[in-house]
Amino acid sequence: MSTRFSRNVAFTEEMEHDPEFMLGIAKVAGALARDVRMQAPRNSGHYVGSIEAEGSTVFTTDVGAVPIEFGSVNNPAYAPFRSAVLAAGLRLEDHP
Amino acid sequence: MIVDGPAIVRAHLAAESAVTSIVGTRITDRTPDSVTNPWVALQLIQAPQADNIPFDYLVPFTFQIDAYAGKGQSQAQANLLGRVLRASLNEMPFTTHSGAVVTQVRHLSFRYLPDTDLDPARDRYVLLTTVVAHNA
Repeated sequence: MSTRFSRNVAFTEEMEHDPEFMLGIAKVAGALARDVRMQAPRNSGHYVGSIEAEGSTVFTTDVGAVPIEFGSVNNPAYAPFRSAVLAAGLRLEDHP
Repeated sequence: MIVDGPAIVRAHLAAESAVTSIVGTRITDRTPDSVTNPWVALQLIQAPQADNIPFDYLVPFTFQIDAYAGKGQSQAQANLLGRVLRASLNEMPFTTHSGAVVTQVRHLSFRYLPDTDLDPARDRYVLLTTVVAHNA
């Protein structure tokens, strides 16, 4: 007896259109946004308030987000987004 | 007590002639006093307890490692330094370290990200690397 496994190449796309799944992902994104805010430096102006979750996405609209995340000659890399992802036990894929 | 991940990585890079031939001893966790010559900035991002290990022994240290070009140098210098760092880190599991064993090195990203806080913007490659280690 044998079993044949056929990979569903549209799986991810199908899941992204599943309201129940997306509701669960939105909760994860909301929790992740809170963690990002906790990891953010306290003296960074509007940065903390700029971190939002929308659907499956967590983002910031602060124009100073890049040096806060990646550091510069003037400040260390606080890495709030990457730290929050790693601390949550999620897999970090850092795409330029 | 867990192993001192940053100290192990710093010592390893400082012992690699391919790295020191470019940056000398400028492997640091903060901006050096002079930013004229190339340097390496090493910063620990996270060091959680490894999954599926019931005690705090095996640690995946995730570092941001910046490869800065020297003043007036081209992107090529930062690129070369970044690639040399990456190759040197890859040797860590096969190298003897003081008080530690490195079991795995994994690069999560390698991106070109000039530092615009310097004028003119300084060429920089940013390496995000996880080094998994435990006490020897």
